[in-house]
Amino acid sequence: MRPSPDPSPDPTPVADGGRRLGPARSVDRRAIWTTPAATRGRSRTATGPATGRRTRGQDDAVSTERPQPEAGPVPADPASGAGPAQLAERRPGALRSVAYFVVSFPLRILTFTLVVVGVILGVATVVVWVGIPILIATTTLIRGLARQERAWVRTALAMPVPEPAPGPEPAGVLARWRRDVVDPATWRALLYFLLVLPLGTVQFAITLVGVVLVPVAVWVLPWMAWLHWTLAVALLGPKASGRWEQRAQALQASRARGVDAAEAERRRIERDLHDGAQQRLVAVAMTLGRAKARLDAQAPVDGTGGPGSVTQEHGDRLTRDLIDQAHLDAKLAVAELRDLARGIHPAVLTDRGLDAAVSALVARSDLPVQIDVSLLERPPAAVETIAYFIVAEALTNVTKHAEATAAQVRMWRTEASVVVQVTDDGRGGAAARSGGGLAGLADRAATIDGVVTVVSPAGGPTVVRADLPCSW
Amino acid sequence: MRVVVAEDGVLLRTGLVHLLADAGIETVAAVGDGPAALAAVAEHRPDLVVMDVRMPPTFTDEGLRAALALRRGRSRLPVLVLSQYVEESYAADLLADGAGGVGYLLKERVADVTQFVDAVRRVAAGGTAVDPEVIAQLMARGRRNRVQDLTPRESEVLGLMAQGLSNAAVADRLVVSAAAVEKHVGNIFAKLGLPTDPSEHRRVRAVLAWLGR
Repeated sequence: MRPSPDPSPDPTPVADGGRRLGPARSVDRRAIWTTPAATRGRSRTATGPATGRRTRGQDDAVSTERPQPEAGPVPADPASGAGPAQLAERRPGALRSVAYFVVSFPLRILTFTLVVVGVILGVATVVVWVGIPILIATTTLIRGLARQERAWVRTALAMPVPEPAPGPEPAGVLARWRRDVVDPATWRALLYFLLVLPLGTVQFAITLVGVVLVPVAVWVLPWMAWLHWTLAVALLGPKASGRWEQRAQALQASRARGVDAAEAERRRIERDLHDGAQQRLVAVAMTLGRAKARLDAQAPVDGTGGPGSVTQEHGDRLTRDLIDQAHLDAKLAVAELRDLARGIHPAVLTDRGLDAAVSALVARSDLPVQIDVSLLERPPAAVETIAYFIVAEALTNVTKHAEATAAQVRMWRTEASVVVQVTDDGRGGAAARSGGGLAGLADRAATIDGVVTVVSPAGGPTVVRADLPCSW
Repeated sequence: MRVVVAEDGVLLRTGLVHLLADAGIETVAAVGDGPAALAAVAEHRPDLVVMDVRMPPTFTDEGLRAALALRRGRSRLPVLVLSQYVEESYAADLLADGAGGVGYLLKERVADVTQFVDAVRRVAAGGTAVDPEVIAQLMARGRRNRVQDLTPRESEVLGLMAQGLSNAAVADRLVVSAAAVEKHVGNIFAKLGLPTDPSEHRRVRAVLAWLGR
């Protein structure tokens, strides 16, 4: 994509951040599958998904190291709205570059003078207190100029320069000044303004050559402008770590919204199924039931007819059979819809919370299951749903594979999370296949930073535990 | 018999009214939400209320709450609660007061007209009608207890009995003689260690309580 072999200043810090974030995320945020068997090197392990996960984590890290920025998880700048892929591919036009360098040159002299005079004057007179207001004014000036320069680069080169992360806005001039002085963005901006005077002089000279020699203008100036833009992004934009922080916050917020939306959507679907399709089907089944009842009531009367009514009797029986069949099918469809709706979202969970919903689950289970739910308050809906489905899946697995005689479901809350634990006394060696139900639930738990752990040594017992962080 | 029907689905509500009319049961009011049902009951003083669980305005369990409120009233009005799904915990709430005249059925049971009308009459007469689905949940739990000592036929009888059916109705359903059912019932009570009680209504309570514990 980008002809230059060396990575641009923009993707470089990005790659750093990616390398840090990638593996960290795969360890901290994703579900971890551990088994004592695995650590002790026994035969039955749950490493299937674990390796799958680890590979994915490495993929993340690897992809960020690729030179193509679009392959790595480079953030789109919230301020600009343009993706980094486009930025790396795009260079300013020759005319824009000429205009930028020519107009910038006198501005650079002016800003350099203002900033240097301000700083020197302020520092020199700080002992007689006059320096303090001068320094305050200079700091404000630097930040204002940085803002102007960002806007100017954006306008002239049509290349976005993101804003640094805005800090808290303290009340009072002095407090604000202290924040500005402590903020590295101020110092980077100062460095920028000091650098661009010598740099700008050279750029101006090259631009003047370009005006005479057209090839220089066409080939060299866009490159120079692009390099200058990367400098502006590095010194006037947010710091690399700040960028990642912003990105992480934005992602976290959007993920939370996504989780909530999915949750609401599931509830809506469940309600639509119950109140829409199921309701209508029940009405159909009822009508068929009434038709059946009527036919039954008529039957003895019709059955006593003479020889002419034999065909009619036959026809009646056929009709009755058809209605019977339709009646049966409608009832089956209703039951299937009910099961489907429960699989999407159990209504009792919304109405009565985890305790009742899990009790209902346990009542449907073939195994003796002991329940202990000690949650005084109801956790957020997404946490309840995930906890419920983890218990459902774990109990299904126990019934299907564990050869257990009893199971136990416990739920309790810690400082900042709900812990769900399903234990059985089966044969152990539970292997959480990737693509299996539990792996899918671990992924679902990961959407709320939850962690699912399966401990299942050969010979049992098996413990499935989910730590689901939540705030009340 | 005079009933109030509370059901928010128009199709089903109309159907219910017709179905009851076919059976010679008069619907004095058909309404679409919980508060309207309470108002209709106050106005018409019916013999029974047929109530949907999930209705406007909140679409959660207002029907159930309205039913419980009606049951708490001095009249102890018989209520038959219908729901798209049944949960044991809801049934427990409805049956908690130990009084008769209560039913809790899946909505789709209205499709089996005769059995549904039977349930309506039974509840109106102070009996009980518990959905087979709830009983199945209870029986699944009971399996860990001594239900496994019962023969398949006996657990079948136990299930039907828990739904609130009389001996005669059980005999009818299983196509056996009433004497055979009585024998089964005697065996069940002996095996579960329940005191034999001539009153069918109290018998249902005992069975449900035994299953629920």
